[in-house]
Formats: sequence, C-alpha cells, structure tokens
Amino acid sequence: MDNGQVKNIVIVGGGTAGWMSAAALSKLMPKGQGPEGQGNVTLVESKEIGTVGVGEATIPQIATFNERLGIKEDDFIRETQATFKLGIEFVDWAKKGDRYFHPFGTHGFDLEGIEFHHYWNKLREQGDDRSIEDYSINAVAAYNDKFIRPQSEHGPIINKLGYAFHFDAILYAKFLRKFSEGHGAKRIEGKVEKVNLHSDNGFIESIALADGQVIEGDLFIDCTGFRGLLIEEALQTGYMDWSAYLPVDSAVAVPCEKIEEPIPYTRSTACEAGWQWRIPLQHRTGNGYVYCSQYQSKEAAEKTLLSNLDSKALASPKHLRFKTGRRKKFWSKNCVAIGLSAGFMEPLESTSIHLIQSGISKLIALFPDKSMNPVERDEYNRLLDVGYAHIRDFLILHYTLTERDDSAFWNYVRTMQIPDSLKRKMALIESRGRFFKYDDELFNVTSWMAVAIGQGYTPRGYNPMVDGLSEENITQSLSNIRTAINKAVKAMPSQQAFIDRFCRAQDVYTAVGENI
Amino acid sequence: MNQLRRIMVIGNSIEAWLSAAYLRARLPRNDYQIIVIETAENSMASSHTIFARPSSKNLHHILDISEANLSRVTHAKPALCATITNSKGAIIELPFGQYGVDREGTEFQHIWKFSGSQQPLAEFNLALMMHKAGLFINNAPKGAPTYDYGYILDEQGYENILKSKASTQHIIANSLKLNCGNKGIEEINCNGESLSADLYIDVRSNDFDMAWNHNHLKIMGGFDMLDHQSGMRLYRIQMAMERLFKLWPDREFAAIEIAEYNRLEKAQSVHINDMNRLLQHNIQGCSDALKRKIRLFESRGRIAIEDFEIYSKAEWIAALKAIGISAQNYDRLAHRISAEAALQWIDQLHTAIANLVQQLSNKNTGKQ
Repeated sequence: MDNGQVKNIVIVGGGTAGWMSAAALSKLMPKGQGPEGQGNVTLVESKEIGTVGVGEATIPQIATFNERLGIKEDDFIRETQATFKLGIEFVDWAKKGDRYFHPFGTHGFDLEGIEFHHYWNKLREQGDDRSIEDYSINAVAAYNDKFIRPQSEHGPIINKLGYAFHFDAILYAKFLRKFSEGHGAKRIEGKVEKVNLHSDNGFIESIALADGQVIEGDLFIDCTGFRGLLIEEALQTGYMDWSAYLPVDSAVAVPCEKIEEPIPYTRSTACEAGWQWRIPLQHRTGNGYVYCSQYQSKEAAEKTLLSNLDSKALASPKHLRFKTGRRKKFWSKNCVAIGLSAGFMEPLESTSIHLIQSGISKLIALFPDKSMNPVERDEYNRLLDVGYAHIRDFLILHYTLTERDDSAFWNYVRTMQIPDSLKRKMALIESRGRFFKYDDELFNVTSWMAVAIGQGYTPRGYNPMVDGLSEENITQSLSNIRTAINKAVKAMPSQQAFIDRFCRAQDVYTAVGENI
Repeated sequence: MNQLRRIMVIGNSIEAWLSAAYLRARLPRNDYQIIVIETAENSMASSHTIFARPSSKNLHHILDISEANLSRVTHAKPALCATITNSKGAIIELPFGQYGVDREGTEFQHIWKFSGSQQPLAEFNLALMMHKAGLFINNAPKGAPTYDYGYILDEQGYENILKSKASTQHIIANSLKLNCGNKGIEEINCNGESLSADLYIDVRSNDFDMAWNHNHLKIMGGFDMLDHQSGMRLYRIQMAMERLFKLWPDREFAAIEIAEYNRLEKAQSVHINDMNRLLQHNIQGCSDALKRKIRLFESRGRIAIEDFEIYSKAEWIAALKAIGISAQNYDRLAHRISAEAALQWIDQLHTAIANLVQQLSNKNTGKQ
C-alpha cells in the first residue's frame, strides 16, 4: 500500500553532512516496516571521491545533536581524537600585533537587568583598561589551558563555561557511519553517473551508479559538497553568490605534528589575503589558510601556510576552491541540500557543522510526504534563509571592522559595502552597545560584543541605566567577578589532564588529509 | 549632564500607573522625577477586572509585588487560560499549558492525530481541564502536561497597588494639550499651566507606526475587550517598558535606537494583530506570517514560530482550531510508535488526566 509517505530516503555523499544526515534520520525516523513504515535510509558514496571533511572545529550546539542521537560525549571524543574548544582567538585581525578572544559562554553577569558589557564600558570610559575578556571564564580558562565539564554542583561561575569541540571530521564521519549502520542505514559504494528525473514533475526519480545500479527514492538528500550534484547539476536551483561580502574563495590545508599539549581553543590568524586556522587535536594539529585567489596565488598561499606551521607537516597540502554563498533554495522538489551543497560561508566561526545540524533538524521537524507539499518546503527554505543571513552578517563583521590597510585584500574588505541588516546591528552596537537577538539567530550578545570590542568597535556609550549603580558598587561587583573567575580557573584541571582522565583516544592516529 | 531627569506619564488607569510603577522600580529614586498626568478619558469600558498573562510574574518580580500581596490587595485568582469572547459571541480559551505530553521528540498533537483518538484534543490539556473544573494547583504533577498560570485581578485593587509602588507625584488633568513639533513634544499645557519633561510616555495611543518619536513615547493603551481578555492590556505596557529600558535614552534620543524600538514594537503588534484576527475569525488580508501559520497548521498541525513571538504553540493551536482550522495530517515522526501503541498510550494519558482532575475535584484542593 502506498499511503504517500516517504519510505526511501537516499543520501548522496558520505562526508560529514552525509553521515550526520544518515545518523539522525536512521535514529529518529520511524523504521520501514508495515504500512506506516518509512524512513529507509540509504547512503551512496564513492571511495574515489574525496570528502572535504567539513569543519574540525565546532560550536557548542553540536552537543545538542549528539545528545539527541544518544551519543555519549566521552565516546565521541575518544573516537574522533577530539579536544575541547572554549572559543576562538583572533590574531592580527583588527591590526597587526593585536589579538582578541571570542568566548563561548558569557562575559560576566548581568546586573540589575542590564547586560554586563554596559557596566564594563562605563568603567572603561572612566579609565579602567581591563579587557572584557577578564570577565569571561572561557577566555581566562583558555589562556591557562584549563578545562572542566560544567556540572550543576560547580556553581554559577563554572556553569557559565560554554564549550564545543575540535575533532577529526573524517573520524567523525566514520564514527557516525558505524552509528548509522547500527540503526539500519544502508551504505552503497558507488559513483553517481546520472540523475534521473520524473518527466511529469521534474522530481528526482532515481540515481544511476557507474556499476549499473539504479537507486530509487522518495526523498533525496544532496550531500555532494560544493558541486551540488543533485540540487544544482540536476535540478538547477541556482546559487546566491555572497563573494562580494565574503571574498575568500580558496583554502589550503595541512596537518602537522603535535608538539605540545593541545590548547583548548582555535586560533585564527589574519594573513595577507585571508586568515589561517590552527586547530589542536589529541593526535595532531590541523592547519589551513583560507584566502582570496584574486589577491594571492595558490603557490604563495601554500608557502604562507607552510612557513607558519609550528612543527613538521604530516601530509602534502590539500587545495580547495569554493564560492561563498548559498543555494537559492535549500529544498527543491524532492531534494534537500545539506552541508556544502547547500552553501558555504567559510570556516571563520566554525558554523559549517552547525548548518548541517540545523538543516537536518529542520528537515525532521518539517518532514514531508511524497507530494512534497510546498508549505513545508517553503517554511524550510524560509527558516534556513534567515539562519544563513544572520551567520553571514556575523562573519562579515570580522572583516568590515578591520583597521588593516597593509594589503589589497584587507583594503577591499575594510571598505566593501555591507548588508543593511548588518549596518543596523552595527549602528546599534556603536551607539550604546545595544543588541537584540532574533529567535533564529545563532550568535548571541557575547559573540557580537566580543568581535566588535575585540576589533576596536567599542560602543561609544553605555545604557544610562547603568548609572543607577554607584561607581564604587560597579567597581566592586566587577572586581568580585574577576576574583571568582580566577579562583575557579585556578581550581580547574588542565585540558590534557581532563582528557587523560575521562576521554583520551586510544591510538595516536595520524591523518593524511586535512579538513576545513 | 545629558541624562533624562524628568519623565511624565500621560494617561490614566492601569496603563499609566503600571508605567509609573515600572519606571519607579527601575530608575534610581534620587536621580529621576516621575510625574503622572492623569487624564480623564477612559481607555476602555471597565470590566472591573484585569487579566494578567503568565509573563506578568516577571513584571511583578521587578515591581517587587509578591504573590501574597497581589492576592491580598487584588483578590488575585489564578488563570490557567485566557477566555475570549469574540465579536460573534464565540468563547475561545487560550491555554497556558501544553496539549498532552511530547513523546520521543514528537509533539503530542501529532501522535493524537495519528492515533485516531476520538477524545477531543482539549481534554489532553491539563490547564484547560482544570480551568473547566474550576480547579487549580501551582504545579502539574510529574509526568502530566505542564502549564503556567496568569491572574485575574481586581482592577481597582491592582491600580491601588501600582499607585503605591509608583509612589509619585500626579496631576489630575482637567484640560490637557500636547504641543508637538518635529522633535516630539515641545511642552504640554495642563490645566492652563505649561509643563515640560525630558521624556513623555503617553499610554493612550493606538499608533503602530510611530510608537516613539524623539521625546514622545506612545504605548498602545487597551482599547478593546479583546486586548483586555487576552491580557494584552498589561502585556503591551510590560513589553514596551522592557524595550524602553533596554534602549534607555539620554536627551540626544539617538535615532537609530528609536528606530529599533519602533521596529520591535511593530513586530510585536503584528503578532498581537494576527492573534486578534484569528480570534475574531477575520483573516482576510492578514499578514504573511499568519498566512504561513495557517497553511503550515492546516498541512500537518505544525506551528511556525516567528521572531519575537508572543503566544505559545498551545495558544495558537487553540485559536486556529477555534475558528475551524484543522490539521489535515500530522508529523510523520508520530510513526515512531505503532498506531495501536499510540492509541493505547493516548487513552492512558486521557484517563490519567481525567483521574487527576477528578481527584483534585474530590479533594476540592485549591478551588479557584
């Protein structure tokens, strides 16, 4: 009996996006037995096609995904050579020699219903030169190489510690493959040769593999990366190009030997035509340089990257090309693009895996039947559209606020036009540090203030309500927060000690690839 | 100094005194003068009671009004839903609690629909069931559908408590004229006397588009019964005050901040207007957001959540169903259990809720 339900879900592509999709759908969708059965998950991938291995660095929301799937955090860390990430250090972004920290978690505590940064800014205006980072337990812990997993008994200071992970994306995909297959997902090895469309409605009917297999499906998930084999090559959905705002278009990546205990944060260092990442894992350090090919050649970029490694490279550098932006429709006909096939906004704030996660959770929340009702499809596209735009604006903020004028690239991004939505946000921040978070907006006031203040875009004033507390009272309150943070961090174990105790990987695995 | 020092609240009744009390609670007493210019016109036909949504608990926390004090002075009764009588005479109950219990990440209404249960969805809403039986307990028992509660307050008692919290100078305006220019209010003439302030908060407005203009902040007063019954009369003031304090100005009245206030105010008004249209069964020419909500609900009983949403999913479901909009289908995640198991579970839940209500009724505990 065909009751119109989606029974066969075909995922094309087996990188991070593919296996995250397979894991979630195989675990959460009803199984395919009986008349109400649906959700048979088949993933097609080819060993011949390399994966990009999106994101070695994540943001705290990844924990929600793992939790929903019932994945134990320590198992996941062990299996993926993961380390903890308390935030991102930005080096040379505002100007050369400068640095700042974007922490997960918060700055200080709100006082009298007013956000903390207003109080900090008042004292700063009166000559207190302490950094806002002194009030972030994440920043203080990160620079002391400390970590502890917050538990309710740890009290309010440590419970402000937000964290994510650095992990090996290839190992994560392997881990999720095992998980997915354990929940009934079927993997087919093969290279897609042709995408067959229904002649009447243009839906994808099946994919034909090079070995002659034809795989039919009701719903297709395109996880084929930048190429967009289904969503673009077959369905010609169109791409919204954001390279005028986010002009980097190339990356070169290479892992190097681990020579010291991993630090609990990502480092992003601005370079001549882009920026370089450094991501410490348990077994190695990931490095990459994201740059704009208009301003730097492939060879020069590779040389820049290799000259900045802190130890011996473990593999040959791997080059990638991309165009920042997104598909005009994330869901078109019976095909949903998830991962790089949906769009890419560069890895500056480690949002790629979050966007995969967001796409999957919204697909599950709006799961269709075979008719692919436009109501659900439109809502999915609307929600993703909003989510992408918020992230885009936050990424642009990093570039537009630079003071650097030492290269053509930085001159371009410093002076480029920016979206009106970002202009409005920036004007509110500049005025008095005002910030309103939208429901579907990923980054919160801490993130926006960290980057704005870190890059010298400090609000000109503060909420006048702050004057309701006396200067002495504010000074004392902020001093108490600093003392409490320092005391809490002093009592924390080092990240390495924490990993050794709870979640050390068994093998020192040496990857030959590198991921972004 | 460029700080605001003198603030006038123009209006009367709850709207004016709540604004004044809020200002008094948040502003340092010695630094700010708050004056209420009490106007004569009624903002709405009084029903002698005020309806407060659950969010008013936060408001009362800021105003330092304890539940005990509220109960003593205003004879506050807990309200588990907002009861609306629309212009056609239909009664619609918007519950402050969820329908049933979500299971394995699937919202209850989908499992209910999938199961084919013959029991009305409303009977799985503990807040609604207790409301119908005239019962109240502060918290739902473990495992039962959760809920929150608002209050029905005696209007005069509430006004008195707000007046005491505002504790401020007030002038009865027998005659009042606002002299407005491009930059808000230049001065006001009250009882033949010229008065001025740094900020004027006028709580008699129905201006959606320009809520705040320089030193003139207009907050929509409760002009109709629908606002009164749904709790929007208090809620609008509460939200306006929260926004104002997040954007608290100085005498420069930065245009960018005022524009942001107005933008947020408009977003809120759209949500309220959308709900009011549903309650009045008047959805012709409604906003795109409401069209989306209706379409998505009709398709599979899903509720689209927009930025700066006000109402809960349960309230939207109740309002949509009340005007005859039904979900044609349900979320396929409901299929994670078999139809038979779903129906069995649904029946058990129905019995459990009915038994709970019966037990409470028998004990007559906390009778409303």
